[in-house]
Parts: sequence; structure tokens; C-alpha cells
Amino acid sequence: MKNQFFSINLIFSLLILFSFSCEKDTEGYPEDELELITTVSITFTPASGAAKSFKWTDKDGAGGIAPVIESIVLAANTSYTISTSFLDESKSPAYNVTEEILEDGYEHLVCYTSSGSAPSVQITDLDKKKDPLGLAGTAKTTTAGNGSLQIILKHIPDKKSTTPCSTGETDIEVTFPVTIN
Amino acid sequence: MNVFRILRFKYGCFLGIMLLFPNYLTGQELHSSCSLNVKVAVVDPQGKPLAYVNIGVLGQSKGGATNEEGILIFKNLCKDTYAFQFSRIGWEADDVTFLIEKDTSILMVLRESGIMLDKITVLGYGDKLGKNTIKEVLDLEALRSTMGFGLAESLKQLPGVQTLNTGASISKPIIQGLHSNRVLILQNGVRQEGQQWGSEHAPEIDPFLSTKIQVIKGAGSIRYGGDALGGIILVEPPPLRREKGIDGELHLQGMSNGKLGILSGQLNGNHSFGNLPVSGRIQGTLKNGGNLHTPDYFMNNTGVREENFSWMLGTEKNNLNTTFFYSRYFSILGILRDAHIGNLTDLTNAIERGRPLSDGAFSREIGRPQQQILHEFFQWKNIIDLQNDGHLEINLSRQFNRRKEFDAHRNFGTLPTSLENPNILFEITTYRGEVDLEHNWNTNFHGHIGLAAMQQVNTTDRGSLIPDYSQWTSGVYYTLKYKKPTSLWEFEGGIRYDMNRLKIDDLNPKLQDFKQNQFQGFSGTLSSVFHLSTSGFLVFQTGSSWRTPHVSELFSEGVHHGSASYEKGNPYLVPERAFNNSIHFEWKEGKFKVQSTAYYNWINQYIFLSPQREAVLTIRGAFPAFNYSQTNVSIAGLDGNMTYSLNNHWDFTFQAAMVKGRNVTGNDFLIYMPTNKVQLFTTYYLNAKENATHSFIRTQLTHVAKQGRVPADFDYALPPDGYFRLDIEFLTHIENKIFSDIELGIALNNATNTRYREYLNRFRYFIQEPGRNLVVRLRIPF
Repeated sequence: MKNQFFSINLIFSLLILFSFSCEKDTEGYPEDELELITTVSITFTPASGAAKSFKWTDKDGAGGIAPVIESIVLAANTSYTISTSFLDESKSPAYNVTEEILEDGYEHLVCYTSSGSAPSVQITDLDKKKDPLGLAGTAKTTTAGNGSLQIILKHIPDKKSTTPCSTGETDIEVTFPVTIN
Repeated sequence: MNVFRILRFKYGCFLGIMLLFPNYLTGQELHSSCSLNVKVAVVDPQGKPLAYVNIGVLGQSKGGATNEEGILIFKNLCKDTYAFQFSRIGWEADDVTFLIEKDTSILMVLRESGIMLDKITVLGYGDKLGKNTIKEVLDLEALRSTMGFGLAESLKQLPGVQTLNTGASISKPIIQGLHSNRVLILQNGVRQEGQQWGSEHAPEIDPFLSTKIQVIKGAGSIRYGGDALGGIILVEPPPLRREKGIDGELHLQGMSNGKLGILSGQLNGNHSFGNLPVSGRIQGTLKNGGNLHTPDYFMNNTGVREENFSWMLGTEKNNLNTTFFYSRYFSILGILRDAHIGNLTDLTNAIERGRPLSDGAFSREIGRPQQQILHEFFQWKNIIDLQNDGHLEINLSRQFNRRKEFDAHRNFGTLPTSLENPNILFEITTYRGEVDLEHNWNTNFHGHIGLAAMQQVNTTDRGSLIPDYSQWTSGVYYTLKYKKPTSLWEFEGGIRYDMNRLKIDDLNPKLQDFKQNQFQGFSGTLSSVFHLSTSGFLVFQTGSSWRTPHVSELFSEGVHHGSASYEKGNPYLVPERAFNNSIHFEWKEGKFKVQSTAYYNWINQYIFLSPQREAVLTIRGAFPAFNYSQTNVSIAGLDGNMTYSLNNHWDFTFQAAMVKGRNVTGNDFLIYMPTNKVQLFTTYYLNAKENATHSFIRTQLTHVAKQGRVPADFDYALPPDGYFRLDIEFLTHIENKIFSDIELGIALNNATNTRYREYLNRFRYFIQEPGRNLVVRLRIPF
């Protein structure tokens, strides 16, 4: 009898061991390491004079503290060259994401939508496949007034589409208020 | 002159074989009208006499229990019709009606609870639920024909159950309009502690490991928990083999849609080590499917993988029955790529399109987004037979659940193709202990007293949707049942007290004020059965249950990419309390069989996501915001079915369900309530349907109406139109020399390739439901 019980106990023990041995504690995973974009910065450079940068920042991500949105203030009847950059300012020093977007440019498109007196933006840069990318552009202001400029970063858009900005997935969508003096 | 009768149980499985023959030995002389003797012998399927079986005669004061030889003699019966009721703890109760005209012997074969297969007898005692509990049992044939589609889809066959889907691969059951944490799932008597809180979290159970699935509606059985506001699902593996030897079965399934293949098998054995009998089973399932298609296009990234494994080992010695049960469920589920939304603008674009950008192609590859779910379950169950006093059951278990979610999102750059780093990773480990003592006060009063305790730890290793937490719950309950074989009434009542302590182990400063949470409360049920006659009964049930707010409802915060919404928990939530009331009716007479349930449930402080006026502004754009809030709601419904058996060959079943959910405080409807649904099943049996190896052709016509009861300004799109769907099923049995009985099923689901969308599918905005699907399945017992 004793032997039988022993052998049965052994079988049970082995089965239990077998059942649990495949489970390893997965502690020690690094904290969330997926990159973040906290800041959209747009720089307007006139033909003469100093460049002006404006930022849309949400350092703590969705929820929590409300985003800080600077107003774009530009001079009337002026041509500007534009460069847009995307930063992760939650890290120190801030991490510039723009270069990676540039590298995989064919997977991205920056779209600009202006309303009111805000100038419309013409994209001037191209990705490796010679399609528009949108990190650089030009804009020309006209009369004084108020408006807004929306900047959308699209991921895997269909750049051959007639409306490429309504395809793909939205990574970034921010709106700046605009004042033309 | 022998009368040979085969009785069919409610749903078509054979429960008992009855032999009724005149007693030749005592002579054939005529008796005066009230001097007839009836000898009743009760045996088990092996022919061994069964003692202590209670036999009563409905509506009369006659009755008693069988002796050691399994015999009870009724004296001085009149020439009349008698409804004999047979019951014994751990055995299937049964009612049989006889016309007694002369001295008679009756041989009754009783089967142990949960038994379904001829070859297998029970090791252990199933949970015996009497008529007092409003329940629906999924019959084995219906279970086998649907288990390839997952647990929730199998349950959908029942009139009171619908499903909440996320795409075509994730499906979870809705009972009486409620789902997720308001529905308990029990595996072999132990409640499943997984991640049921999310509406896109499917139950982590392999349906192939069970042969019996039943649904308890409402707050029917407080033994299993005081927080089943909607209902309870019991998934029970078949009992272990008891006679020496080996048997098994093999399931093979193939589906045309998604080119899905399933291989599942089990092996049962019994061997005696000296005089210690040991029974065991190993079981496993493999599933592999690729992209599903709708009538018009493929759904990208909707493949599925499943690898499930379980074993059971048990022995019985003297009065102790002990069983070890282990199951491991692992699945990889692809989530429709087109449903992964960047922000509200994308959602609007996707809804406007109403379909994927491209027609797609077939592929077995599962990329991002995807879920990987592991659920491990280990149980040690002991049943001590206290002879006439009942049973003592001790249940210890450990469960481990790991949920990984891989987003399709990365804020820039290429998507990581590797699946090494999930965006979300939760691990939840649960230890449970339960003690239940069944006590028979006398033949009419049966009580259960029990204790349950649980300890649970959740760690969120990746993502920040819910914080780390530990949880302790303990409960104590008492139920008492009154059933006198001769009475037309049966009563059952129960009361339960639960205490729940929740500790947040997160260092987030925002959560510091809410680190300790404690909830406690009572739940209870009261039900009565009234036998209208031998052919029908009514069940009245009322009860109250309560549920602690889940951690996700208290503390979650973040963007939900499936629905482009910003969801915010509320740490001030209080428990919700439900008051359930229902009436259930069953009637079986001649060719008709009817069952129906009407219910009215009131829930105070019902927790739901309430839309907020102000959207949350993020760098991805504005997201509509939803806060977890509380309100008072009422949910009323009616469901049931009716079968008319024209003859040995034709069966017609009509099944219908409707639910109406109101937000009473907000004076509005509740979102995601099941739509009105009617079904007509027409079955033609090629041979006699009572035959265990019958063959049939069945058509199932389903009509789902358009949901008109929707809250104002809550949803992104209007509910889809109603639809008709036709399914055809053929089932037959093949016998040959090697395998005694091969079951072959061929089904054509959505036979007309209808284009439709289902209100209860959260991906209905983006995609149609799957198109035609040819299913071929074989079950080979050996």
C-alpha cells in the first residue's frame, strides 16, 4: 500500500511540476519604452529677419495637465519658409523624432489645413519615393486677421490617393491659433 | 406483453431506459381498484442496485427511499396515472409517468449527474441544480456542433444568451443584457479569474474540454458568488472513467472561412494500483485559422491560434473522492487592422468608408494588433461522502492569467515586426479555497453551508491602463431547500455575505488617497417551484446581488484605440446592487415542449461609461471622453422556445428573445443591449430521432431586428439594419469495424452569403460580418 501511495504521489507531483515549470515570472520588464511625441514645433523663417518658432506641448501625455499651445503670430504680406519638427520632451535631453520620420519618410505625410487668415502651406520636400513628405514647406501671409493652422502627421497614408490626408492613421493632430498682424 | 419505453430527456440526451412489465409471478387475477402493488427497482447504468433513492408520487403522500437492494414497494395503489419522481444527491433527478393497471414491476435506470456518454461513469459528484434554479443546459449535440467557434458562440444557441463581439474572433456572452464582470464563468465548479472586465476580453476556456455547459440566469445560485448580476455559466468537464481500461475521442474540424483547422483529442484511462483505483484523462486542442472573409472582402489580420491542454487525475477510496485538474489555455488572436484607429478623425473616415481600404487577401500570418492570452488553471477537489448526511467538498485552486496586447501604434517610424514587447501586459494570479458542506436535515430539507476565500495579485508590467493591485475576498453562505416528493411546491432560499478588500500597489501619486478599498455586503435568493401537473412547472425567483467596482472602473485612464475614446475611471464609485425577479415556465405535453423566462432586474448604482461634454485634447487630436459613472437602471426581458415534434422525423422549434434596458435616472436607453431576435429551427431526422445514432438535416433561420432602443447622442453611427441569416446543418453517424460510432457533421453557416452587420459587434462600423462558411467535423470515439 505504502508503495502504491508513494508512486501515485510521485505521479501527482510530477504532473504538478510539469504544469507550473513552464511559467516564469516576467518581472524585470523595462518600463514602457515606446517612444512618445510630446511636442510639435513649427518654425517660420522670413526672407529677411529672425526665424520664429511656435510649440504645441503636452509633456504628460493624454489627460492630466492640459496641453500648452502657443499662438502663431506672423507679419502680413510676408513669405515664409516652414520647417516642422516633432519632439519628445518628456525625456531629458529632449529627443528629436523628426529624423526618424525623415528616414521612413515614405511611411509618413505631414498635412496642413489652414482656416481664416492663416496662410496655406505648400509642401516642398519629398520622400525617397519622390512623394510629398511635409516636414518643410512655404507659406505666404496676406492681410491681417485671425485663423488657425492644423498640422496632422499621418502614418502609412496612401500618397497616390487624391485625398492622401484622409487615408492612413493619425499619429499627431494639433491645431495652432494664428494671428496675422 | 412488455412495454418498452425509451425516455428522452429535455434536450434529447438519453437519461434513463425504462422497463415496465406486468408481474407474471404474482398471477394475473383481477384486483379491486385500489389494491395494486408496484415494485420499483432502481439501478445504475451497470445494473448495480441503488440505495437511498427518494421516490415520490407527485400530488400524493406516498413515497420513500429505496433499500440496500435498490427496491421500494408501493402498496395499495389505485388504477390510475402516477408521476413518480426519482432523486438522489449526485444523481440526475427524473420524473416518469405511468398508467398503472395491474401489479407491476418498474426498473429505473438512474445516471449520475453530468453523465452523458455511455462508456463513462462518474467519479465524483456533479453540482446538482434542482428545478429551483432557472437554468438552460446546452445539449451535447448543439455543443459539439458549435464548440469550434468558441465558448460564447456555443452559448448563443440558448434562448437567453447573446454575444458581444469585437470583430469575428472575440466573442463574449451576454446574459439578461449583462456581460463581462456581471457574468460569472465557472470551470469545474471554480470561478474563472481572468481578465473578464474588458469588453474585448473573451473567456479563456477551451470548450472542447467540456461535455456540459449550462447557464444559470439571474442571481440563481449564490453558492458560486454574490456578484453574478446577469448570470452564471457552468463549464463542466466530463466525469472520469470508472471501469478499468482506456477510451478516448478525437475531434477533427475544418472550416472554409479562414481555412481554419481544429484538432482536439482526449484519452481516458482507469487502472487499479492494488485496491486503489486511479482514473485519468489528458486532453488537448490545436486551432489554426487565417484571415476571415466577408461576402465582399477579406478581413486583414483576423487569424487565430489556440493551443490548449488539460489533464485530470482522480481516485476514490472509502468515502473520499479526490481529483486534480489542470488546464492551460493559450490563444493568439489577430485584431482587424482597419479597426485600429488613431483618433476621432480617423474613426470618422473609417465609418464613412464602412469597409477596409483594400479587398485584402488570405493569410495565416497574425501581425499587430494582436492579443496573446494565457490562462492556467489548477484545481484540487475533494469530496467526502458523509453517507446519509450529505457531502463535504473542499476545493483548492490556483489560476494564472497573462494578457499581452500588441498595438499597431507607434508614434513614428516603422511598426516593430517583432512581438517581443507588448504594449500591454497584465498578469493576474489567484488562489481560491472553498468548502461546501451539504447537509440533509431529513428527506425533505437539504442545506448547504459554505465558505470561500480568494487572494489575487495583479501586476501590470507594461502599459498603464490599470494599476498593480492585490485583492482579498471572503464569503460565507447558507442555502436551504425544501422538497417533499408529494408536494406540488418546492422552495429554496439562500443568503451570502461577502467581504472584498482591494489594495492598490502602485506608486502613482494620484492613487495614494485610494490605496485601500473595502467593500462588503449581503446577497440572497428566494425561489419556489410550483408543479402545475406532471407535465409542467413554474419557477418564481427573486434575489439581490451586489458587485464591487472593478479596478478598471475605479482607476483606468487612457485612450482606447478600438473605439477612439478617452476613458477615465472614478475612484469614488460604490458597489452596484441588483434586484432580480423572474418567472420561468416549462411545459412538456405530447408533441409540445415549451420553456420561457420573463425577468425584471433593477440595478442601483449601475456602473457605465458616461459620455462627457468636453473632449480630451491630446497631441493626437481630440478624443470624446467617457467617465465611469453610476446610475439606476432597469433591464426587463423575455426569452424562450417552443418545440413541436410532428412525428418521429420532424421537429420544429421557435426561439425568441428580447431585452429592454433603461437608464432610469438619465431617462434614456442603455447602450449595447441585445436586439430582438427570433429563430426557427426545422429538423428532419432521416432515421428515428430517439435513436442514439440518428442522422438529421436542420435548417436554422435567424432574424435579428434593427435595434431601436439606443441612447441619444451616444454612438458613433446608427445601429445597422436588421437581417436574416440561414444556417444548414447535417449530422450523421458512421459505424465501422474499428470505430464503433463516428459522428460526421457538415454545416453551412450563413448559407446565402448574406451581407449584414450586427449591432452587438463593436467593429460593425468598419466591417461586415463573415460570409459563407462550410464546416466539416468528425468526432471519432474509440
